[in-house]
Amino acid sequence: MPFTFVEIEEHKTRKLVLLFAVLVLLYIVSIIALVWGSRLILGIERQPSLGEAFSLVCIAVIIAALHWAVSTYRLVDRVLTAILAKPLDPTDTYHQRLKNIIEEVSVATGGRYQIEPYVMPTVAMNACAVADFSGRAAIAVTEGCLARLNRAQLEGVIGHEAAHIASGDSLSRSVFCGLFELHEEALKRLTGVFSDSAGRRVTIRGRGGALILFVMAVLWVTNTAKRLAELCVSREQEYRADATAVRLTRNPLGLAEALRLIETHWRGIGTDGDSLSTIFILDPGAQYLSEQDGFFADWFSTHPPTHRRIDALLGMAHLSIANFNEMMALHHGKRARQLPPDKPGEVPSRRWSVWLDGTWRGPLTLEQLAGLESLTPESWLRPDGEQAVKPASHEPSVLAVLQRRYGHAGQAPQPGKTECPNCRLQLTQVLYEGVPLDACPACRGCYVMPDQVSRILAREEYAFSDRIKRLAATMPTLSVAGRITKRFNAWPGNRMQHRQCPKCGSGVVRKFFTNQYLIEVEQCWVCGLAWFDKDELELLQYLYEEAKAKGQSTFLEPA
Amino acid sequence: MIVVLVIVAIALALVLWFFGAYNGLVRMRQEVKSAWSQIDVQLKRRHDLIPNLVEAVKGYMGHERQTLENVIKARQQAIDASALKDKIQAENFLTQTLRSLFAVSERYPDLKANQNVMQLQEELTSTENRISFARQFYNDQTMRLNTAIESVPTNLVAGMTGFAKSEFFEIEDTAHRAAPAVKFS
Repeated sequence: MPFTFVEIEEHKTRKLVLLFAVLVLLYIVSIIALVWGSRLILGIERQPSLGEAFSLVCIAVIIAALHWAVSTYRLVDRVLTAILAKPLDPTDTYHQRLKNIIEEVSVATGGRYQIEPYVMPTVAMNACAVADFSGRAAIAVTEGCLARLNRAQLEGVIGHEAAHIASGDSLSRSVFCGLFELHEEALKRLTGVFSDSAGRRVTIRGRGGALILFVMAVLWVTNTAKRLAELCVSREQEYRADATAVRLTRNPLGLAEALRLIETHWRGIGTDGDSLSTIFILDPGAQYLSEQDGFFADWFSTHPPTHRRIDALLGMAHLSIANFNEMMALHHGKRARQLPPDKPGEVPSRRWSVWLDGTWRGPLTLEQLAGLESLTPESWLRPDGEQAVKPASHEPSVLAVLQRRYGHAGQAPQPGKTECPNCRLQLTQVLYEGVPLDACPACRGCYVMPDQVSRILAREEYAFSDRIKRLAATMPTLSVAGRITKRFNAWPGNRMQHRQCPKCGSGVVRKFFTNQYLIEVEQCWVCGLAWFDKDELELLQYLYEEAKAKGQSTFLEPA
Repeated sequence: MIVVLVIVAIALALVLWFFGAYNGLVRMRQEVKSAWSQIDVQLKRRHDLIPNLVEAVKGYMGHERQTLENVIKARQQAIDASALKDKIQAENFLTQTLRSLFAVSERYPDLKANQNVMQLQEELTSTENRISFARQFYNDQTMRLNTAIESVPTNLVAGMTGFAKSEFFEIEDTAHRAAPAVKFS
């Protein structure tokens, strides 16, 4: 180990002392500016005494100490809130993998660091590490990274972030963010109050105007401070973290591939928290400066050029850049989606006629019905001797047969489980792109929460069948779809009278899921749980990926 | 007088250095011990996972009874081993049998599609990684201790106080050991 504990601790303390010194200096300068300005305005000629100068320094130190104490209080939580990071969903396979990888890397550091895993719900690709004085450390990874990186690549990224935590970079950077950037982030939102959605300035007179001035002044101070303190964040740390990651995972290629993938995808500019650039693996702003070589760029950008980082890693792997590019160009294929196999059924005393393939067949016994491969919960049945016709799912004994046919491993129905709104069969849990969903085994519709939809949209594991592509080709263009969806969603008759949300028991409305695409769902208007019919979720995913591939806006306006 | 003072000062410095070097060695030995306990934790985790895996796989792999039995036997051997050397050997054998189990499972598409098996496989992959990371950390610590014991001047301290070198956790896998044959034609 090149780093012993004592060295790391010394390193940490030195950097933090430097940060505090910058802060004190900043307050001294601003107090001097304030005093000097008011002397000019009031016309005071007398020279300040030594005692006054001393008390000025004391005041600056006290203010700086207060600022420090407030800014570093519960730092991990506050930074995670600012970047909208969420704890993991323990049932999601992608999240389980992330948790496992973080624990593995923690083992590689000798189990000294307990690292908490978090995800950022965005399709952007980035990752960051946060730590604070209480000894807490967390790594947050975007859904985009979880979806597009394989195990070895993700391991490289986590190794890099864990290296930052072990070397103490994370602590000093988090403190740096807490001191300057978190306030900037909050102020950015505050200044948003003063301009309307079209970006025009709204004039606020009196106290409001004074507030604007104050906000501007504070913004200026923090911005200047940021520029000064960014000098402490050297680009060398990134190279060192890359090297430590390789020492932890012994796989330079995984990290190099991950860097290339993150570099060539959207890294999250414009999202909440993109100004906290120093804590991320690659600069979310994708600055021009970051990709430059030379003295000026070395001093003023937070991240070294990615191609140089990749070069260094390839050097460790004994691979030339040409071979690497060839390797990365190989198409990353998707798996074919497998549907669960249909289960054959059995069991018996009434007789029914059944409407199949355009004719009435029967009357048939329950056993004969069960033998019909093409019988579905939606097939029409006419009980023998009656005139009324009803769907198979409304006949309890036939429903029981179907339940056994489709049910999980032939289990009998369990009371209290959610039923399919169309077929009345009990839903079974399936994994769709790693997300556990309750789906109907017969009609293949499923219940999805809105946050699960955004996770599914981020993932691209499976290819689409030709049927989905044909269906998508029949969809109207975006502008037409937008007009239709908005008008339809505003219609009050959409409320479904006899339906309740299985999760919260509130009312259910029929509507389009987003304003962009004509995907109709039945959605709870309180918790947002949506029922997608067969193919509809896949269709939404396909349309979304198409838009992404064409470079169109992928923002889904919630309807 | 000055000569005496100088000699006393040198002797004092030597004694202080001796204490420092000894404490350094003790710290390294403790680190090696804790690194070994890390491996132990992860090995235990693997032992606990294997019965679940065998149970889940059994239904699909009726024809591969021999492979499954090998895994079970290797696990039992690994649990029973007490001496460090036996333990290392037994665990390496277990790793090999698991590897052949997964190689065989490639032939069963139903098995690969099974959610339960997939989850177990992810857990086991993770555990294998943890074991290799823990082993890597242990070997790093062992190397530090052994280097200190052998190099001048700490070797004097180690020799006087009876510090023994620690053993590396090596992979006893002939396939891994054999150098790849390169042919120039």
